[in-house]
Amino acid sequence: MLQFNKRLQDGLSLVNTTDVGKVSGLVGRVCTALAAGCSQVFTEEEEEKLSGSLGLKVEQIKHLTHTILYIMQQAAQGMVRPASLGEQLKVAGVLEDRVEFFVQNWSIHARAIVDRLRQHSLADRQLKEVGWSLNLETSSSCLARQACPVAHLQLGLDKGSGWEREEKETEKIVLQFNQEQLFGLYTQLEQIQEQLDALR
Amino acid sequence: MDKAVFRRLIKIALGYLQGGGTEQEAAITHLCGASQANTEEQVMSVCVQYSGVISLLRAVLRLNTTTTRQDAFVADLTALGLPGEFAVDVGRVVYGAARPDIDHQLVANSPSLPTLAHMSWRVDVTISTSWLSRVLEPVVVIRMKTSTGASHTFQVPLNKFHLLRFTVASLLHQMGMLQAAPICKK
Repeated sequence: MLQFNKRLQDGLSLVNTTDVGKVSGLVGRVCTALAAGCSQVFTEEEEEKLSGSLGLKVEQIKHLTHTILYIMQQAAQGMVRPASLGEQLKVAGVLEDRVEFFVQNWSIHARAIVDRLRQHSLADRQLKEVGWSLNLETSSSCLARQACPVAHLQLGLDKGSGWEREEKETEKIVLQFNQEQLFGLYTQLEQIQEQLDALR
Repeated sequence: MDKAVFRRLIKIALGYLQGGGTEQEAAITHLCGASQANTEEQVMSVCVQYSGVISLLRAVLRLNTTTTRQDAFVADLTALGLPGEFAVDVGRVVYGAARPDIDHQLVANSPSLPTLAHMSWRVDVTISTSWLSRVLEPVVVIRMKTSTGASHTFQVPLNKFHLLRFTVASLLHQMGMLQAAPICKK
């Protein structure tokens, strides 16, 4: 499952040389960031502080963070069990006590990380919000007195919901429906629901 | 003016008010030919009468048919100077059987936001992604074409689809309750 290359080996040796207490904190932090869906685990200032406290250069801090992130992402991709993750890390040469931290954090955060990753999609636009308002048309230039209920639906479409992209532009579409049109939409949604039910 | 000509003018004007455009011009030209209006003044006078009929119908169709009675309406029109038979014709249009259809068309032409012209959909099941090797999550892809001609294609994750369906159903329910409420009784 874990694919080993030179870069990963360097990262793992960094893990081995870093202070044990700090490693557990780092792994925990990376897991919570993955579960929350943030693409940037540490901000620039935090990286500076870390480099000060761990005695490593900033690039080494980045390398270390990326290694831990990569291991966690691979674990999620393969949906490995914590014990199996532990085995593979030991084979790769990570020290026993540090492997413990990886295994513990993985067992705690696995579900949240997998749920968050399940929602990632490559779609150009996704429906994010549905807003509505119900109005009654009482009069217009054509008819002095009428009573026509009209619904306005506002669909908020989000551009980009993947891991890499930060900017989210929301496009809002407003549509108007009278009773018949709304019923037509409802019928089509019911058809879709039937198909979804048939999948189970 | 001739009664038959007046009736045809009413018909053409109704077509115009219900959203017609070019066919009315052709009909007017035909009418001019049929009533032997050859000189420019005669054609002009037919056009003036046509626009007069349109304005009259527009004003008259705005009226609420439940609060004014037909005979009172016809009497009012006659008092305004319209010849008796013509007033009866206009009364027949306003109170006649075709009135609900006319109303329906008028409402459809009043100013409104874009409506949904066409919706097509697709249900996909995501099997695996680069982030997770086993996803097996259904996703709905919807394309909506609005009355303005714009086309929007987007994915709807499952929880948002349920939200959309619930919203539409609750809106329908509320509309039904609103129809039954006293404010909707004309």
